[in-house]
Amino acid sequence: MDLFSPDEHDLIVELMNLGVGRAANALSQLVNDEVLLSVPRVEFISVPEAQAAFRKDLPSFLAGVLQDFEGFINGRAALLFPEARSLELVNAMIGEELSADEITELEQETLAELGNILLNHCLATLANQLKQQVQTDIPKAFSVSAADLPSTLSLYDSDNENTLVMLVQIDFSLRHSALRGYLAFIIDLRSADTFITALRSYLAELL
Amino acid sequence: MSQTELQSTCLSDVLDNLDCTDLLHSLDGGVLLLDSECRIIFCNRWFSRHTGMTEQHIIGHTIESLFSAQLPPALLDAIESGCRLRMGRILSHQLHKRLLPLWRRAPGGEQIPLYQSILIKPLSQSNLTLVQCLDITNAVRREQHLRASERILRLERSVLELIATGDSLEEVLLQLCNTVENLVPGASSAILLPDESGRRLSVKSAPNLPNHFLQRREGLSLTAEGTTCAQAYLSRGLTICPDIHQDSHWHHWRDQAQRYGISACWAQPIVAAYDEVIGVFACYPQNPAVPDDTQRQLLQRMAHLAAIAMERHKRIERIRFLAMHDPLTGLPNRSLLNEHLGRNLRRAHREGNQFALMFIDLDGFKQINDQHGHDAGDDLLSVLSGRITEQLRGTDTCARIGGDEFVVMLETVTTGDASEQVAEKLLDCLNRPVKRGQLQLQVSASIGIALYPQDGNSADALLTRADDAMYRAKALGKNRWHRLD
Amino acid sequence: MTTTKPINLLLVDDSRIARLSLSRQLKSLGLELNLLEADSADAAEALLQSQAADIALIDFNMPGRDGLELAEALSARFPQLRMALVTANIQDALAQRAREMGMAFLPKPTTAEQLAAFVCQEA
Repeated sequence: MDLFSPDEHDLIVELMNLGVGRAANALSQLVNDEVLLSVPRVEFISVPEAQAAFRKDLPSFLAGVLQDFEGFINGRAALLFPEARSLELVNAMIGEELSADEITELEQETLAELGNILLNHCLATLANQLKQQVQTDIPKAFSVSAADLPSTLSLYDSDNENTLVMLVQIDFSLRHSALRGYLAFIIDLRSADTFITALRSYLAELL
Repeated sequence: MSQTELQSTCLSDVLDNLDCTDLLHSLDGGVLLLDSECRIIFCNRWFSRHTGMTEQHIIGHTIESLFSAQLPPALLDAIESGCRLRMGRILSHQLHKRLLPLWRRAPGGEQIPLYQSILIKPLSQSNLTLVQCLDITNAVRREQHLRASERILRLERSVLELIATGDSLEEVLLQLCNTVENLVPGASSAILLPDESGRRLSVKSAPNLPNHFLQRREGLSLTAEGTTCAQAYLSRGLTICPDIHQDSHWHHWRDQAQRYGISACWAQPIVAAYDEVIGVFACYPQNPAVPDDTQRQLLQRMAHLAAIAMERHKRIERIRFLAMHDPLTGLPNRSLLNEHLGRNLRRAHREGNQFALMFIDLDGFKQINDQHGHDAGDDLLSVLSGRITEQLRGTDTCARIGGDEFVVMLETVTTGDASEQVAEKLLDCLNRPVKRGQLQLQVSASIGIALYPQDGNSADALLTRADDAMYRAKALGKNRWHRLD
Repeated sequence: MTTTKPINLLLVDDSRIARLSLSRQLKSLGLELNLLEADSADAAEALLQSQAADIALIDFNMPGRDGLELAEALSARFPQLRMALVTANIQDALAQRAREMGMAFLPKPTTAEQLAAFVCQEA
């Protein structure tokens, strides 16, 4: 999508990296071990493109965390993992031996908090750097098949014309494992003016 | 009005007349409302009950000031970011083992801390923040139980694999002991099996107990006054000695037990099919204790696996035996004979010794079968094979290689005469009639002798030579031995 | 009185915006700087074939070789080069690894004060 210029895109990636780095610090302090996060890629796509991408690129079962936000921008964010690997992440973080193949309710809660910390830091950093405000709701963990993902993200309810999906790849590098997850921000474009203006004025100061 | 209109009107009536405060107080779980300065402006009954503080004590204070030193920084940060920055947070149990000091009273009266998770939700319509405390003790207990079960299952699986693929019973029993020691930290373990007399228990496997402890424990007598293990064996049930220092049965072993860090004994009988007790699995905790449910289950399962391993071993041994022995007489068969022969050839070659091989063919056996039936023939063979082995030393071999054909191998002979003397004795005992009911069955034998190294230096050579010698004996009139010159 | 010669400073970061932001801050320090830019580890090494640098500010998170891997390669070829790792991942483990390489550690977003402290420090 051509909503953002290359410089604006670049800035968003930098800000995401910043946010994700902050989240990594918070997580690393929580578990007293090394947690490195990075954002190799950010894509802006339309809802139909997102649906196609989910069907094609994501594995058949996903675990994730959903969190609504509002402020300088409104929408919902989802942290997505291939289901088995989400369990790996939880177990790597809490340092216990792998349990059954199914994620238990306690582990779902832990995953929800991991997503919560990540999403809060990304959004807060984005807001702070752009000198804006944002508020987040409490997160909810879920486990779905890729086919049900769009409805979980309420993509069918959205007004496609006015909805943008920002798909962020996140690489987790922990002491004994490495995995990749996705952050999908489903953004209501009608609320995006503030965001875009703030982004542009930040760039203007730089350039 | 339509159904839905009716329903929604009724619902809004209900909600209008509902006392929300009352509703919050009746919830199962802690509910707090904080203002933008993190001060508590409402707390529900559950919260005050589980903190032991009254409402008056709580209202108006911040969580931090109420509990000051005890709270983890992550919780305080989360409350700040909730109230001031309007960021929702969930604090899960697994990432924060300790959160608020909440507890409940157990039936016995003790205070038990609650496992909890906390939700912090900024309310969108106001500047208030909702804090919910969820009691997840049940979920945590379930998960601990699940993990414990899984650990046992995994260990069981590896033991079963070992049983299925491995040859060594020792290895399996060792693995079982290690498994128990893994899951009961600080404890040592042992497997005790009855000896041949069936009257004493001796230690078969004990990876972490020193040798002389094992030797001393050898021969635990299986009487009613015996130790814990003996009692477990006799009673067929788990027998517990929670504190060996208080138990008179352990009197003899108290010093040793002290030295090796043993304070209790949990003895689980190993029971095979048909309720037969075939051993005892003993666990010796470091401190006086009684096993809990998980540990009882563990002992049962390990004892069961031990039974499986031992039964399988017995079956395999039986199959091996059958493969190497003649079913009627129990004597080694041709295969086992060849093994012994090969081994002896190598030994004799190494040490420069002589040994003797004899081919024995019974004369007149066919007639016995024809006249009196095969059962009589079988009985005759059984008795005669017993007589042969009686004449031999423990190191000698007698094999049945055909219907009425035997091969005897004398492991070492110092002179050629020695083998002739043995042959004479064999002729005598084979000549003696065998009484069977009213019948007297009688046969004689033709024996061919071959000596190593004079008559050959390979198995084939010696066997052929002895066989030929036997035929010569038959030709010469039977009931004699012969050695080819 | 000797004229101070300009400091040759290499910025390595795959984000143009990040390099822009950093160069703005550096320019605000009022020092004589000759700024060189590279958007990857490979580009940085290629650049240093033909141009000299006294100081390098290296982003940790880059596609291909990361900042520490580049630092290792450069310290072998240019032992006199003073390097700093710039990153949003402000963790002890990473800081430790940087220190072992003999690098300074600058958290993102950088502040003018921290940049000044590093650049002006005697080698």
